[in-house]
Amino acid sequence: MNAKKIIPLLLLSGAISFGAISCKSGLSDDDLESKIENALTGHSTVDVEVEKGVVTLSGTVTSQEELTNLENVVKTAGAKDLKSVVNNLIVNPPVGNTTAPIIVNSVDEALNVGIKDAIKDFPTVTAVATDGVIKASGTLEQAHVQHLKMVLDKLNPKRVDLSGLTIK
Amino acid sequence: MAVLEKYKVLLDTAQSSGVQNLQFAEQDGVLQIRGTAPSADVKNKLWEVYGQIDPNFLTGDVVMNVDVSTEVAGSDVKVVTESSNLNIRKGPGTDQPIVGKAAKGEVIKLISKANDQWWLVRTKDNEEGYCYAQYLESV
Repeated sequence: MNAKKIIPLLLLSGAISFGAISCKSGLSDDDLESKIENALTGHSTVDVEVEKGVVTLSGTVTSQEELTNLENVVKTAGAKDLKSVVNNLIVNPPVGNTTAPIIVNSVDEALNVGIKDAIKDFPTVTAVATDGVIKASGTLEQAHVQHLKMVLDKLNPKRVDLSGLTIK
Repeated sequence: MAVLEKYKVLLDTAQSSGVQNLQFAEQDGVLQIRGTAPSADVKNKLWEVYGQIDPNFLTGDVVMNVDVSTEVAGSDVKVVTESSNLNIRKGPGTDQPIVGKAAKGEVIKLISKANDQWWLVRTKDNEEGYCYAQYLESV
């Protein structure tokens, strides 16, 4: 190998290493932080910190979806300048204007187990759950109908259908 | 919103008689009602109002599950069976062996609630076991 061949090789390897360095430098941590903060405009409860390309998110969000969504926004905004995201966001649902949904049990297996216990003291009545709806049949004295309805409602079904019941 | 309109008196009664954590919503055409009544009397009153609007509960457009706040661990509860004795069982379920009985009208101690349906109780004779909650009422 003579000198004429070595020089271009050296130049080439220099270019490669120079290229690698320039690619690695990219945005400074401060610039990356600004860029991400811009992308997160409107999310005032979220803090962004960048150190050596690692983005740390802290603060609170109102839902799990928002948490995941923000992480994706950060990844998109940071693109290749971002090494990784440390997501320390806490989900803190708003208090006051949301109430827990009403629990309705639509699992027939669970309902049927409950029904068995509930109607044990109504020997003239049978009941079965289908798609969360309890349908009772048989005969029952009028005075006991309310009690039957109470024990069946206690199981939180979608509906209690007593229309198949003969009331004496 | 038809069922909300139909059962307005029931919901108004629940609100005015101090039912806590009152929740109601129409779901699949059925008015679902949940809450905690301050006493067994209030709970019974609600059922009376419901029965006046829908005689014999035949329409099936309401599911009402209302607890009573005084029915807490350590309180006394009365057996309110239709006529028979109330079985006290080893565990929470009718498949469990019977370990004792409480007479209709007997007052027993509520020790804890295994779930909405089965409560752990103790009689004056120190019989301990699980009873079906629907047959117990606070005194």
